[in-house]
Amino acid sequence: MNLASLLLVSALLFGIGLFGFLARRNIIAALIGIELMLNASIINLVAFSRFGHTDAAAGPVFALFIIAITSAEMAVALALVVSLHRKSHDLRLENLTKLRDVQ
Amino acid sequence: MNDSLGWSSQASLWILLLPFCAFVVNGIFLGHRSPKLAAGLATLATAGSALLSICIAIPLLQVKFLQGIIPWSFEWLQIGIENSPQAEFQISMGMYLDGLSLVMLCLVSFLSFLVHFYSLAYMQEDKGLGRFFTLLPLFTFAMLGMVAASNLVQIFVFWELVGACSYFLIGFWFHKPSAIRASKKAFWITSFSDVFFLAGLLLLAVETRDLNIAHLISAETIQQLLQSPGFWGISRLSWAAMLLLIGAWGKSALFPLHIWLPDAMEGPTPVSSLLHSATMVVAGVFLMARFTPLLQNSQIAMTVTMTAGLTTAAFAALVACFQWDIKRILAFSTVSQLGYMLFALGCSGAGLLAYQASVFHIFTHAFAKCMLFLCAGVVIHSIHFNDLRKMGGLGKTLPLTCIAFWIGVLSLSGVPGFSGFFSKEAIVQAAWNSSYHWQAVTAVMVGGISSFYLARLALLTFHGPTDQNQSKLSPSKYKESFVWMTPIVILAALTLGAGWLSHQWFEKQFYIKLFDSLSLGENHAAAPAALVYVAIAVAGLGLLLALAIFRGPRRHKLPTWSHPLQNGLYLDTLAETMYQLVFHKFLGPLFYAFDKWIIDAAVNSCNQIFHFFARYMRQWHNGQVQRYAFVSAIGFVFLFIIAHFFLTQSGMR
Amino acid sequence: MNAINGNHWPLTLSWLIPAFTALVILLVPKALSTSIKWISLLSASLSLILSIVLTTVVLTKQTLFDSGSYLFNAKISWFPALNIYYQTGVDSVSVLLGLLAAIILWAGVLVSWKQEHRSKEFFTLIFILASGVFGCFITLDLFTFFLFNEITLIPTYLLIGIFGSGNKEKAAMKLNLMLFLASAFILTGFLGLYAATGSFDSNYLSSITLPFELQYWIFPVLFLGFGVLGALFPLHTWSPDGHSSAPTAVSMFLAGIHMKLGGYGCLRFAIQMLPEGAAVWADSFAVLAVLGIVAGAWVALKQKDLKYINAYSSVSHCGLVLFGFCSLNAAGLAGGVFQMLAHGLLTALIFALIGIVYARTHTRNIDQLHGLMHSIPFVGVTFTLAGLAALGLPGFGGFVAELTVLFAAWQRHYLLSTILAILALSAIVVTSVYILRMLHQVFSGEKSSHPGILDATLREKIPILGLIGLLLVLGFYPKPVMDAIHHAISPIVKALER
Repeated sequence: MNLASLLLVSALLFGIGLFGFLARRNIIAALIGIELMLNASIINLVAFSRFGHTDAAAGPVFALFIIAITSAEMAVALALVVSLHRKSHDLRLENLTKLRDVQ
Repeated sequence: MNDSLGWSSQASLWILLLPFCAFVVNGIFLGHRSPKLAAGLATLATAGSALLSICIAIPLLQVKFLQGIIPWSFEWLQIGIENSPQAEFQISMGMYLDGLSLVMLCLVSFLSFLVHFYSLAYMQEDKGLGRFFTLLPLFTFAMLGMVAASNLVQIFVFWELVGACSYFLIGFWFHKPSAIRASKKAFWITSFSDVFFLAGLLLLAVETRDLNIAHLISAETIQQLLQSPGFWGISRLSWAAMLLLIGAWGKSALFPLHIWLPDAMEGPTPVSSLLHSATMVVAGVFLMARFTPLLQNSQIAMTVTMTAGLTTAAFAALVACFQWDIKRILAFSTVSQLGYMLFALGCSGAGLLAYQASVFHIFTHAFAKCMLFLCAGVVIHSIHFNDLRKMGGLGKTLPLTCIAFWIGVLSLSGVPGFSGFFSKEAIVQAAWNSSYHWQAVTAVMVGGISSFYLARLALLTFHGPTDQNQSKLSPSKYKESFVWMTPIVILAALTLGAGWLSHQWFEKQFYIKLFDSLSLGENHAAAPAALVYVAIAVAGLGLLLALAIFRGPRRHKLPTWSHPLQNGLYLDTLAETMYQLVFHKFLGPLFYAFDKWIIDAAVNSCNQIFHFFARYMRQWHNGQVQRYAFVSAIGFVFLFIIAHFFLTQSGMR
Repeated sequence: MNAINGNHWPLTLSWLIPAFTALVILLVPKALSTSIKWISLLSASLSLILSIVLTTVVLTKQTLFDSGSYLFNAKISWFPALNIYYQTGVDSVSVLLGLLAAIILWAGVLVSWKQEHRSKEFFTLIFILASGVFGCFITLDLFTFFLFNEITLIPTYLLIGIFGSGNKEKAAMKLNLMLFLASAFILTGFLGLYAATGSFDSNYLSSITLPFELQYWIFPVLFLGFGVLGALFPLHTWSPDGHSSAPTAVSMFLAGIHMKLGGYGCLRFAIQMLPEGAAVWADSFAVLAVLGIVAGAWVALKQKDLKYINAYSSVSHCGLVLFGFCSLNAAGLAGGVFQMLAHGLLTALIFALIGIVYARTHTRNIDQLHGLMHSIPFVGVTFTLAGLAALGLPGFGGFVAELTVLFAAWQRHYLLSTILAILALSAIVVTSVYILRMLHQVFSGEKSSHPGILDATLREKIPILGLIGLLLVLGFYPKPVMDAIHHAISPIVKALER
């Protein structure tokens, strides 16, 4: 196992996540896309740390930070999704235009 | 202050200050509160001014002096910095007394006093009495300031001021649209030519850096001007002379810029008498006379002056024969006589004689024409209209006016014995002496026409049957009161006597002594005596022709061929059309459109450009987070590629 | 001497008084609008007295100093890190312009006595504007000048946008955007100089010879920036719209003195600091200035609104200021400054008169007005006098300036400048046409279009007669003022001759 293959996995994961975020219309699927991209970055951080490109402690610490923030973010996001679902039964992103500026 | 002058240097200041004080006091206090008092004050002030002028002029004219005296002057403006390559330029204001200015001072202040006196009665029932007697002293001040000016800038300043007074006084009855039109016309035409005057002034200022008259007409300045290179093959001196001439052109109503003068008769008759015949309109002639030494060195300017003068004289005389308005006839007569004066000035070959003749004619014409207008005022005030076709037989009711009028007519016709004879004779002789033979003969012919139309005017007004229109008026309307008639009688006496008096005096005292220093040519041999007899005969012929035509029954229809002359060759229409075309149809709208549709539109379109881009950019901001993310992903990749590329290029990897 | 040199307080007071007044007015309850007006009048009178005293001191004492040295010169450190100082100093040019500002402020307060709509805000903003203008005239530091100049823009926008008439929002926006553009140019120029020399001190900058390349590039930037402010053709379009929409007192102040900041900046900063750049660029700007003189007059001929006529007339007259400066000789610079003074008085006078006519008749369209001489003779007579002053009649200040500027241009013995002088001369005819046309349309005629309206009251007569009187003083005996101006500009002329 070397750095390049880890980075390749991470890049693939990021690409899948980006595609999922951009292409999916369901808000939960888009959230999963965001989650995948974040996880890709975690892999990067840990990989660079493991192969000695940065301080040994920095990578895992950042990874932990991201995991914590992601879980908080997900909690808020999913709470919003649940309340949206209760109100409108519609979780498609293109229809969520209530906060949009009037054009 | 010049000590040798003693009291007169102080007094000469008061010649100007008296009318000015009257203007200030009337303008601020008396004019609208007690017009009667204002009128009295103005008349007294001008009387004092006239008295002072005469008292100063008589002793001074006895002395032989080589150049003008400057009794007082002060520095008015200084432009430029000392000890710098661009030398400084000083303008001083003061009085320059020589023969010309002394004669003009006396003439202007005296006539102004008479007209003030006359207006006491003429204007007494007018609502604007106070205004009238505020403006008239102002005019007197300005005119006196101009003729006594010691500096060209001062001449210009007072020249414009005189023009403004003329504008106010023509439009005195501002409720009459025709008066307003006339005042605008007068101002515009004169300000058009004043621009040329100002250009000439600037040219002289830049060349000589000293516009004092004594300096400008000195031999050194003339030499300097002649030597400095000109442009377009014309010397700088000629340019300056031509520009000043065009300046005089409008003021002195030369063809074709004369069109404002007949219209200016819309003003009250005393104004026509003082401003538009005797004094203000001769300002142009005065300017030319003042700078004769300069002009004499420019052949082209002299030729133009002569030609313009003669053309004007002939044209206006012809037009005057076909007019029906008493004041318009007199106005055209004024134009014609002004033409004579400039014609004389332009006869350079005659040297001093031409100059003498011109100034002499200013003098004699002023008395006669001022009086004619005052008489016309009496007539108009009696019957309340100006149209000759409705007049006739007024000699019975206004006998004194009639006699005075005839004196004026005969004087201007050049009948021997009257003052006009001497000056006209001098002019014709001057022309002949400069070997302008044909022109001299033409001038004689024009003299014949003048006597014809003046006699026609007198005959139609005072003789023949009484028109039914005026027979309805009660006899009490016709009045020759003391206040009216005094100025007329004085002027009539002067018109009769001035010739004898001044013919000798002008030659002996005024010309010879004063202009010894000037490099004007010597008098040539006198013109043949036959010329004088021919002139007398032609004038007599004109009078007789008028008698033959207008003694009998009236015919109020003019022949068809005279229509162009009746309408002054349609010059008014032409000027009106040109004004409309240039100002309101062509250049005005052009500039307006340029400003509005090009410059302002360009400024406003900046706004539009922002709006356009904003509208386009806004479409990308549709609120979809996913689109934003997509764009930022592409942008990121793009930036990454660029950064990669540059980092590799610069070897910083 | 010590009271004069190193003492900045008399100058600081000149902008502090209006600024403080603005604060005081803010504290007065809205209901007491009369006391607001009295406070304003008191403060304007104080400013006027201070300016008169300053002018007297400077005009009498300046000959004791070298020409080119500033009086009340003081330099107080403000932002040491950036080399920015609060630096004061006046010469006769700035002190005369300051006096003009004080006169117009005083007249403006009297003229807007009837301002009832939001009078508290109105007078506050007027005094902030005045404070900025006074500040501009007393400072010698480029940065502080710029700051004061920006201070004038904000109240201008509000005064036109809130209290104006007609299409006021658009006019206010246009005026402000174009003046901000001007500020951008000015700031660019100032920063360019700062980058090259590390100093904002105009006194220092004019004492050293800047490299030619720098002068060549900075001069047009600065001159254009100030030119916009001084209504340089073709960047003048903000001024007719803005000045016409503004309320009377604001029009008077803007056209009378705010526009003069442009001319003042051109002289004090562009030409004085960058004489070599000026020598290169002057002819191009002279062409623009003369185009402004001519086009302004012609466009005024086609206008119907009294205020637009006067605004375009201002464009024409302000062109003469810049044309004089572009002659780059003593006569031209002095004539330009003299024209600033004469035109400031004149345009304030005409705007005040238009304000009176508009207040009585509620129209400014000359087609709807005629025969007003019958109903308001005082306004008629004074308007006619003002019109004659505008068309350059001798006896009023404008003629002296015109004569001097044209002489300056002609003096250069140079075909282009002679042609330009002739073109400028030709504008005199056009000016007389549009002025007389306007006067006759409005004031003469058989009977009045608005019979029974009141003539000017005493409160309105005082500023009008005062302004006419000053114009007459300038025209009758211009020598003292002209000499004082010459004393102040002689170092600039020396720099230009170098």
